[in-house]
Amino acid sequence: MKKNIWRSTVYCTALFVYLLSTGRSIATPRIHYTWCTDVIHQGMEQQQDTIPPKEIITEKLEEVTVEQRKKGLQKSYFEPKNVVTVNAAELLKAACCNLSESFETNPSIDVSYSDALMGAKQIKMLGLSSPYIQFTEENIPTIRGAAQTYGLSFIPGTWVESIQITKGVGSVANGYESMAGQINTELKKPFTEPLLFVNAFASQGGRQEFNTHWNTSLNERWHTGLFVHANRRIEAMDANGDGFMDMPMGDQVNLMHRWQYTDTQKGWVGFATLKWLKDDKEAGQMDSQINFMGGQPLWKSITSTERLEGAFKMGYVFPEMPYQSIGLQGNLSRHVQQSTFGQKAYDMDHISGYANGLFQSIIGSTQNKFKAGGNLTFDQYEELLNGSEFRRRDYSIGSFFEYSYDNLDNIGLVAGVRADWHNQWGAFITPRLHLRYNPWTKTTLRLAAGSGRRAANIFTENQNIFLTNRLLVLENNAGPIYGFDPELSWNYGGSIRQTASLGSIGLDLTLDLYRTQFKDQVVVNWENPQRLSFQPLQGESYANSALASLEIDIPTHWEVRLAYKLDDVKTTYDGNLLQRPLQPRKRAFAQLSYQSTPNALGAQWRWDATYHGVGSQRLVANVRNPYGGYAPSYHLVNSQLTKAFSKTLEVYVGVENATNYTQENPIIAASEPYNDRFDAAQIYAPIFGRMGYIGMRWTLL
Amino acid sequence: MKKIIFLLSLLATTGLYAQKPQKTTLEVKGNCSLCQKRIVKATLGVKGVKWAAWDIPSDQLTLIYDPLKADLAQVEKAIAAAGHDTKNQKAPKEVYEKLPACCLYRDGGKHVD
Repeated sequence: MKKNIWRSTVYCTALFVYLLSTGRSIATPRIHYTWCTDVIHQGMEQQQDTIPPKEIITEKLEEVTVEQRKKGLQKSYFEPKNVVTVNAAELLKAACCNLSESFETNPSIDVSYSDALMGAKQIKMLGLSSPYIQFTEENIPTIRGAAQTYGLSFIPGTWVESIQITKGVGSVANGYESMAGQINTELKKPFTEPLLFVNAFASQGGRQEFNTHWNTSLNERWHTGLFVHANRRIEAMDANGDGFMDMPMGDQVNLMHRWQYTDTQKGWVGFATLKWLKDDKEAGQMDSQINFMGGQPLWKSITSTERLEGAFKMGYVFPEMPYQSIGLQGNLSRHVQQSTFGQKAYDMDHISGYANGLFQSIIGSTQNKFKAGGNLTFDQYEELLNGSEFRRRDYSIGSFFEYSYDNLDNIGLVAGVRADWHNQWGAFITPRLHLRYNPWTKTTLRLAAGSGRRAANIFTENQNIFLTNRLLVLENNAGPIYGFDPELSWNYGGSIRQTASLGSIGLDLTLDLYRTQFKDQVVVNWENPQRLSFQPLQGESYANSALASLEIDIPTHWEVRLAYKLDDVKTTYDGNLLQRPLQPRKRAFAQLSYQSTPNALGAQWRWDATYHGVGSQRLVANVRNPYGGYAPSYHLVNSQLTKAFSKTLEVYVGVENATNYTQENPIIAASEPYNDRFDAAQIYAPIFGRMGYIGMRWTLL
Repeated sequence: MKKIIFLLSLLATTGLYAQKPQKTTLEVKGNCSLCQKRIVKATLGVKGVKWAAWDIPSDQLTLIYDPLKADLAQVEKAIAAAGHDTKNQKAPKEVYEKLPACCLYRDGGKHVD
């Protein structure tokens, strides 16, 4: 018995250290493995963790009695970085279907459409769009380069086990590219997944989705899984009557095959993952418009993407020294996109390689820990834009050192530094610092500062530039990347979190304040109605973001979340410091969730409603508004009802955009798509009105 | 840059080979997660102790230490000084009485939350 305990300690610590070794949050290990969470709680974790006893008690009770009552958004008291973990229960609240939509129930992240035609959703954090957020998949950088615009829609929601959102620069271990924050996605692991999972979804918008996962253990050590996702939208719809499809038609097939190796005695953990994706989209004018085109062809956009990716991870924890571990990870991918937009054509072929090695140990005792390691990155871009070729090869090599201190009580610190050499812009240093201080048991104060740097892949990151007939201008300044220097920013900020209880009601108040200041930036300038210019930043550019959020936990069925956000995001355009266009200054968020107590079979009702208040957004000058202007503020409501019949079968119905708010005439000069004035990129509100959907999930344990 | 890499690898190898730690288990009295935090903190406060974990239901403290720098008598003393009884050391009464309520293991027996 004792041997078993020790064995599971080694294994769980192995898993934990391995997961944490590249900056993972604590909450991730599966709750099924209570022995594991227990060991983790009792083992290394509690040295840092100063959970007030009441919290422990309720958490334990929740684990035993109502597993589903675990909070969907988890914040740590002890982690110096400002990390919010979005777990599986929270992910189920989102209607559908892929990673871009997983954030719609979360006030920290804003989700909006990037244009009127392609149906792509973009996300923003601290007022900055996704290129300024570093995405990692199991701590390997992803959604970079060619995948930037559509990459989030290439990760099916059902594959996601949990998401860790770090506000502020984050760890140095994953590279220098994060500016506003890091978002890590953990995919489902064969070892912890049920044998078979099936999900089907259909919406009024003509969207259909199908997911199935098979996972099995071959023996104690080897586990394998196959994940299949398919979706399609087969109906062309034009509810607003502008002659254009409101959403693209298309289909996607997405496959993932995983191998997981766990050796509980020797301390080895490993993953190998192979992914393949094919996605086709057709957007543009409805076929019926041909009569109005006066002999001109219909304006259509065809986008075809194929992506192949392989990744491996290996972790070793010294069995006699559970505080010491080695991690190795690598990734190789090829992403090919071929697309036409009316008479424009844009093709992109991106080959990317990444390798990272990491050693983690202690100095003296576990109060002082360090991580040291290095990484290699290789990116080859080949782009063809209307016959002009852009080729580039980037490689960089870097090493990092990150020191963590914890006084086992109320102070924690993570100080990291990277030294990198990049073939396009030479050697540079990236420092990052995170502090945690608990003045009282229920108060957590965090501070963070650090820099980030990245190459802006101007075309692939801004694919809405192809949906306008403005004159495209590159105002070069002889930099290495399309004539531009790398973007460089500093991020400073912090948060205060206060928890309290009113009788049995739990309150959790968080205030986040962050500023991202750009030193170098490639500015996309839409201010002149005839032109679209890429310019080097001249003057100031910053994003200030303040978020106040309150979570109210009312036992045993209700949870309320309220949030209010101010984003002051300004850039100098032609000498004028202006709010970034299509960026609301104010946002409000509210969510009400209900869960009934599950019966012995696991039958349960779950319901939630989410409200988004979106403030006024600045519009750039165009033919409709020659002097620019402001979009009206508006409100959106989504709701979902889930009936679990048992632990294995669930059916859900929901409605998105229940108040049916849409942008009037979203496309400028929609009737003349070849005219210079045509512009489908000025989108501030949904294109698609109220949409109902239904879905089911079935699990074979 | 090269210097940094060199220093890092030096540090890594030192970490790998210089330590010959020893693992052992002690019985330490306590109840709840607050005790857990106190016990671990007291244990790690002893020079030479590298890693410590205290298991709530079994009262077992597992620690890894450098036998050249730390000895177990010191560890037991430090834990007792923090208010938790070990096999060979009893916590002074006045310290015990100041423990958080959930840690009062001497009366009412073990109550795990």
